[in-house]
Amino acid sequence: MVGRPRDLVRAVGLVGVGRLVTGTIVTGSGPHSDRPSAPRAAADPQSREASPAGHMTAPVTTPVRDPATEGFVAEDRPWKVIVWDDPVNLMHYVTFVFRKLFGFSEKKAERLMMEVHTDGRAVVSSGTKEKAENDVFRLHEHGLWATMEHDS
Amino acid sequence: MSTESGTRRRRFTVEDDVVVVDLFEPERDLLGHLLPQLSEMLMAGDDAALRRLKPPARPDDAEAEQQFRELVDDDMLLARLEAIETVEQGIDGARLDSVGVEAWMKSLNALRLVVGEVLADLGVDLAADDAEPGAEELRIAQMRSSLDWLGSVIWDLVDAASSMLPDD
Repeated sequence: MVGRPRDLVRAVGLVGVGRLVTGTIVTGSGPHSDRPSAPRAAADPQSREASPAGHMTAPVTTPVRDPATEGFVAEDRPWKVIVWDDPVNLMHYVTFVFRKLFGFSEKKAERLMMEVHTDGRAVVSSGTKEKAENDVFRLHEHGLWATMEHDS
Repeated sequence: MSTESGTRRRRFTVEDDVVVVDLFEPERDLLGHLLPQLSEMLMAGDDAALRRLKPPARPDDAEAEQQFRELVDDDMLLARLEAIETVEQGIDGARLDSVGVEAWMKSLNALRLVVGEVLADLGVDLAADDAEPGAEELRIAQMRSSLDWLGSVIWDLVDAASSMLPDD
């Protein structure tokens, strides 16, 4: 996440950017192609969980499977929703989204935002699978990178 | 830009529980230029720069991820296009209720995320300070300026909208 950006209207005025599109068309399997599908972290060789390419990717978790209980119990276990850091979203905006979507106090929202910013991730909600899916959907709508997984 | 009294003109102000939009003219022009492009990209759906708008929800489970995408993608696309339309209708001035504020917030942030992805695809390190661009880097400089500008607009909108959230 980033802090307050420069206000270029006051500084140098605005310029047009031409076309947004780069002219490249993704072929093949789309978002799950061999390109990293997770947002990039700023290139930082010291960054947490940075891949050799300097990109942050979501961790791959391998659930422990118990064939005796898997079909019966798996979906009943609570789920947690995790928000991940990214190099574009504003800290101010992320705090606001937490307050708006989850009703957190400003203090709690800021604390969670800072946890995302410093630790790379934070758990923002937990509950049923349906609740987690809805929370992830709402966070994605607001441009945050969120994932869901079973709460261990 | 300042008013005659010398105070800074605000893009977003709160009056009677609505957010009043009053962008500077160059900002209106630029938003009017960028938003249709974003809508085009969303409807085409195949530009790599859109991936940041659909990050994986279940990176641990490809099948579950596919199910999630089938569950949400169409609704999210429709919601994004409707939100962009709300912003386009209010570029020259609007009074936003909470639904309108949400449309502006989501659309501006989506636009900023896509600009960020385009810059990343061009090899720009977003964490690095700007270098003085050469002529061949003009587009990159323009896009970085837009990224900063969108951030400034979002910041101001968050300030206004935050005052409408319930007190702690």
